[in-house]
Amino acid sequence: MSLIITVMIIVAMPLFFNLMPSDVEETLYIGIHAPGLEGVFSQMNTTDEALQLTIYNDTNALKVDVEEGDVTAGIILPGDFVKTLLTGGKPRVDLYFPSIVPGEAREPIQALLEELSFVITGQNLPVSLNTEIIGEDYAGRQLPFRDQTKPLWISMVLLVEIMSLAYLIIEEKQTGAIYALLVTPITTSEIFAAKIIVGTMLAMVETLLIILLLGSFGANQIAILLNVFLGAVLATGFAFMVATPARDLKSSFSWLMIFYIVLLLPPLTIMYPQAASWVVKVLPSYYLADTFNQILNQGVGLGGVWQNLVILAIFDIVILIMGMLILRRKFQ
Amino acid sequence: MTASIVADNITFCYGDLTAVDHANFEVAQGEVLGFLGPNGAGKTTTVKILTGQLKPKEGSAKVLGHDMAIEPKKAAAKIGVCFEEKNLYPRMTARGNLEFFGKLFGNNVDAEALLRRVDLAGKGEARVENFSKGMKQRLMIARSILNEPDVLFLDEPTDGLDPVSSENIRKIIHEEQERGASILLTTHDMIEADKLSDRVAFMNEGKIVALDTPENLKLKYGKRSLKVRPKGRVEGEEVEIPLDDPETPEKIRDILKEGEFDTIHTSEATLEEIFIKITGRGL
Amino acid sequence: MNPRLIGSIIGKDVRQGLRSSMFIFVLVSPFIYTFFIGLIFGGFLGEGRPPTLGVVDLGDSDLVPMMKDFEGLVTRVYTTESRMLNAIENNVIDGGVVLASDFDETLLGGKSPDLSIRYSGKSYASNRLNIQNSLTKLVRDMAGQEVPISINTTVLGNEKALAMKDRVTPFIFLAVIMVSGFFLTSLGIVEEREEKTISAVSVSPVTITEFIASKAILGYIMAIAATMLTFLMNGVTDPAYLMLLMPFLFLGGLFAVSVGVIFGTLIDNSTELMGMAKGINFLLFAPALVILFPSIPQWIAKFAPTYYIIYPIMEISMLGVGWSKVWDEFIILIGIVVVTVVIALYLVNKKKNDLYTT
Repeated sequence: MSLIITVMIIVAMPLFFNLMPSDVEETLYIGIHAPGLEGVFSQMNTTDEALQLTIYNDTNALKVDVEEGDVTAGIILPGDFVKTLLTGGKPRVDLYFPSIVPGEAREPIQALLEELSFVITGQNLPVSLNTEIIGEDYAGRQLPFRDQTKPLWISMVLLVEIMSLAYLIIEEKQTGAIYALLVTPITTSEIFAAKIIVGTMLAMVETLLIILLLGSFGANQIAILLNVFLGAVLATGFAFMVATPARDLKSSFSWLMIFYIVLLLPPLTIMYPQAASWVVKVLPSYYLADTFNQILNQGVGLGGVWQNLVILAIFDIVILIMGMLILRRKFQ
Repeated sequence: MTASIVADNITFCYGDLTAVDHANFEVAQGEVLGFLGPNGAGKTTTVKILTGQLKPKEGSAKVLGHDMAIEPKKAAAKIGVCFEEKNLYPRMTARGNLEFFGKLFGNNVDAEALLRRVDLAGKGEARVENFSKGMKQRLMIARSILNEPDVLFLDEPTDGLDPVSSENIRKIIHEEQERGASILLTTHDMIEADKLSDRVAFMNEGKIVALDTPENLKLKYGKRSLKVRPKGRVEGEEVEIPLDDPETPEKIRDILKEGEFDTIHTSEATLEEIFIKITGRGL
Repeated sequence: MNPRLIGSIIGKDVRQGLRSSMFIFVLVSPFIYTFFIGLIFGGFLGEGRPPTLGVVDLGDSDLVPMMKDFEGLVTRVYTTESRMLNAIENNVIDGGVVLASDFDETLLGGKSPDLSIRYSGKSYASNRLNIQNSLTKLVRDMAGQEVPISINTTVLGNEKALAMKDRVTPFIFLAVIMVSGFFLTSLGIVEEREEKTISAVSVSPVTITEFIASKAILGYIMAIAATMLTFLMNGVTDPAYLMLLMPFLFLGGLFAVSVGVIFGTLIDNSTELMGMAKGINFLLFAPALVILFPSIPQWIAKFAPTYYIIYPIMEISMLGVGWSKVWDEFIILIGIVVVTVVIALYLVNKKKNDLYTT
């Protein structure tokens, strides 16, 4: 039955992934009722993805669309808007927001409307403004949110194997089978090596299957394979570290959950870099998730991620050594 | 008087395998019935049916007059079971285990007295997971008698015990019998079965193949003999004279004429020899 | 059912449990989940982050406090231009500006100081537009230019905006209910099967129903207590809301322990239970994930039974909705719980022999 559940996850995760929207909404949709100025505002639609002004002849229709959230905001200009402006008056403009737009999102749109009015009255900006794009400009071709989540999903699948592998080791201890092995010619190092190989292979197979089903095993396959391998070794090493001193399943569960949550933080910060601090770079899962992000979302090849792989490999070696020492201390 | 345990034609199957095949027997009040048989004979399954853990496919199992397939809990308060597997709460203390089960039976248990009785005095506060195999077994015995049961099911009660502890457990079994408990004793230890049991049942491949007192079984199936080793002969060179032979007296006179002897003793068939004779296989 | 017997088993489980790290984990899980997930990521999770602008202020400009006070902009001050550029390149911020040391003097003197906005290539076009308009508004305000229009703002509709932090909270509630209700119950049963102590209990006056009920009751009490604590830790303290939340909490707890009983009955070893729990968690937490990411069609979540627990809890606790908005989900939840409880009872009865002789 456990196998059925594993298969269900492998099927469900890509299904869930494909249900997420595959495009990015980076446009502000604003409805405007501007009697006599329809032509002017039509021309104001920007050529990039930023703003889409929709002209409404009927104010009620505009209000309905605002209430239903079909537009981010609705502007209703009075019929004598331009005349009042040009004669030095201060026309009243109605600005409508749907209730689902949070307060902080309303101010920039209000600023947009104010700027429009300044432009119409010919008041120059008191600064010399210019803009520059740093790095490659992805406007209009932003990475869909669901693709940004790929490193997270893949890391989750890999890291959750820490629990599965730990349970296998603990079960062997609980049943006493490990002691039966230890009285044979096999050494603790050989037992350790065998467990690492099996654990790594299991984790790799499941992860690669997920990557395949997410449609992400296209380019840079060597880099992906290497990263998956190093991630699998990492998960196995951690499993060993937690499982070896554990008395039974229940007592290890808490530690495993804490390990899992902490190791999941870096993949989350890859998606939300503004949440990151230097602390996450101390955790090995950062290099795992960052490598996936670079390969899968930025098309970076082995040459661009080798440093991450080296750091991850160093973490792997350290964790494996620690796991081995703990095993030896426990059973010799 | 109504028997405490009545197994009437009980049958149980695990899939296609008939584990218990129309077993019939009774255990009277105050009687000890030894249940002997090899592994896989159906002894444990029979005990599980009698304790209400399993429902028979055919037949009925009654304990203290209650059908254990229909109303097992009516008898539960007055039965005690010592299982073959050590199913104690490992992270609880010995005292904790006894007091917990005492509560389930509605008894105020004197845990210290029980522990003294099974030679675990002073171990009340120790956790069971730190006990040796023998200590766990003794605690299992203590748990099975804490409610002063009218019927006691003992599955391999001396398993893992040293000779002194085993003797102590046998003493407890005897005390329980004297108290009036009916006891179903499952064991591989023929000497134990022979010593303790009023009657013995042999079970093989789900069937009861023999049921009688040990003495009757030996008389019926076993051979008695006199073994004499004259002086100067080595071990293994005894002269064996069957005691049930019409020529026995003459043969005894002849051997006595030989003069001095190193050893002279009688021997009779063991239950294992009888079992092999009846079933063609060992225990 | 004999309450004395049930109470004895519960008492034993509590005494044993207090020595178990699993039990302790359940008790502290509200703190763990709230801290790790709610506090650290509450402000950041989900899509559509507000426009974020970095600034290097070389002359202690008055523009910077104005930027910080402006609600539509998240402003981060950097001490050096290189650090700010690094943040732009990594899309930590959408854009950045450097204010020259004489920026204020030049602006207020009627001249046009340079203002260069450098955008991250990965920033959304709408965020760039918002940054530009926000900055130009602030600059005009600082220069004393009066807005030539008066704006009358009206909010239409009743549906409240849900902050990103609020979207995380259902996940926390669900995690606590399931860890306490499902895990404690199922593990409690499976452990006794593994240690064979269930056989020992089976030959005592305790019936299998009483035995299972004792596990379910303890899991239920822990689920309710832990979730109540989570409510309080996440600011849900209004008695009116708490009263409205109780029915969902009680039913949610019942669902969790029923699922725990089902798994405890079907599985006889803790390794397999943990393996299955790993998978089931993904399916059960799916509605929480859908709620977290609003761009996912929300109807997907309605296929998961846990949706009818956490969505009403979120609506009541975060949006302050009343009974009229959640009664339909309550009815469906009753149906789900009834079905789950019936399945659990059926399985316990059907698997009685397996449980006894495990």
